[in-house]
Amino acid sequence: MDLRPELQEYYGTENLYACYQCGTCTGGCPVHRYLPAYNVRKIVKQIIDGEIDLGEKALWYCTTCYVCYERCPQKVKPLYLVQAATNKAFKEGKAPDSVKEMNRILLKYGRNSEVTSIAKKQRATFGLPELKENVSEDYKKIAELTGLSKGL
Amino acid sequence: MLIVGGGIAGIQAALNLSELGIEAILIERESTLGGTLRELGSLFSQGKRAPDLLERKIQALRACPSATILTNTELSEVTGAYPRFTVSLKTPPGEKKHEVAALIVTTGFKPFDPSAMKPYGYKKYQDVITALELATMLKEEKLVRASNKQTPHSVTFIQCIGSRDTHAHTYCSYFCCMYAVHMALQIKEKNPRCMVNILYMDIRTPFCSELTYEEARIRGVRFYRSKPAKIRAAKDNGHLTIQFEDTLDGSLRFLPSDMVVLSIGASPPEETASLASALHLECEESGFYKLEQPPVFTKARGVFLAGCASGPKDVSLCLAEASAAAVYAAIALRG
Repeated sequence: MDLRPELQEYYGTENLYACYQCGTCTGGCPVHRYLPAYNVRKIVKQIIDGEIDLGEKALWYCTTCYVCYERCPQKVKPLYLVQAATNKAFKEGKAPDSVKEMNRILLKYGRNSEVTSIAKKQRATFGLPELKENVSEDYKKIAELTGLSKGL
Repeated sequence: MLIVGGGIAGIQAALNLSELGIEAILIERESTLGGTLRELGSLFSQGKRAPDLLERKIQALRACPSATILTNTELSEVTGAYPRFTVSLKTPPGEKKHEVAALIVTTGFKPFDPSAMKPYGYKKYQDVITALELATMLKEEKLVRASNKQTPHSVTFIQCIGSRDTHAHTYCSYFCCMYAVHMALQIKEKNPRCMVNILYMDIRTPFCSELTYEEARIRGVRFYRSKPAKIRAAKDNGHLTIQFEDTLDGSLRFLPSDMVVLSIGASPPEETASLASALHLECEESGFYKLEQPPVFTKARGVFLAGCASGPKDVSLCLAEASAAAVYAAIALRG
């Protein structure tokens, strides 16, 4: 899958081809240390070559900590490239089931976890107002505009 | 003829001019001649030792009756134009004015200061040193760790510090790969059991230095293609570990090393911009002076560049450029 035409539009990839594959991004990546399947340098290389596999589950391991973004000696913005890939993957419905499920819950409850009776009781003891169970109209609108509901 | 800067290029230019029978004034800001070369030992480009080379050149220069050496002297003002410049020099006794036909600028470079690069911990960890500090150690034949005064069992070079990096300088400093390989071999020669690693992005060893690179590989210097992410120090004993991704096999490595050497590049000296406006020269984006036409010509007529003033160079190139500048200055003088 070639992402480059879209990157031009959203991220401004004037530095994309400046990447010299030095490995600073992967070397400092806190995720790569525990999940070697996630390799930022390789993702950048695949995007440059126009051969990225959007079905790859490892794309979704990024924690958006910005270490690669900060340290990149050529200002390639690897983080934004990974985000571009995940965005595209989601729109094409290639996101892993866990991500899809989380978004279903978001659309259903307006938050990323169900409101349980325990949570309700706890809120009452802390003197917090009751949670609304319905999803706000604004959120539905955002989901519609960003294509969140389409990718499921 | 005025030569600004008493490094190896300035000395060579003054020497060549004197040999041609032209009066040359060599000014140097510091109290001794030699510039950066004073701190170096064995040279990769000349196959000689820097102190011997310097001593030979300085002695030859002192023997020349037509050469004047002014140390502790700075250039304060330049007026006029080719073929008649009036220069005022700030010397220890006081301001002096001279009339010269042409100027040769050999202001050299300043070693890059890596203390701003936080992940590498220079100044924070004692055993992280710059290549210039290592060169001084090797020159004095005292290769010891700063923390425990013992000979290191492993030394790791990190290339491209301050070079090819948008956070520092975007240009390649030309000599770092060659001196790193050369110093790695020197360490191996004295201490064959010492592990020497070089972390590089691209090894740039042109011409005959490629053979040195090959020799280093044969002698067991390890090369990893990577720019490291971080250097950590153990809390109890301060042992250093370098964290990097080996980009050739994609694995994350934690390389323990007794000593880490940062192969620093060249920065333009701070005074470049102010001197450039005084001499009507232009600066490049990199901060060094701009050459109008290689090897030595600038936009201003009668002002020549030699050595690292126009960008990082090794000793042999500096000597060649200095000689070229001397000859072109002589042609400019005699018409």
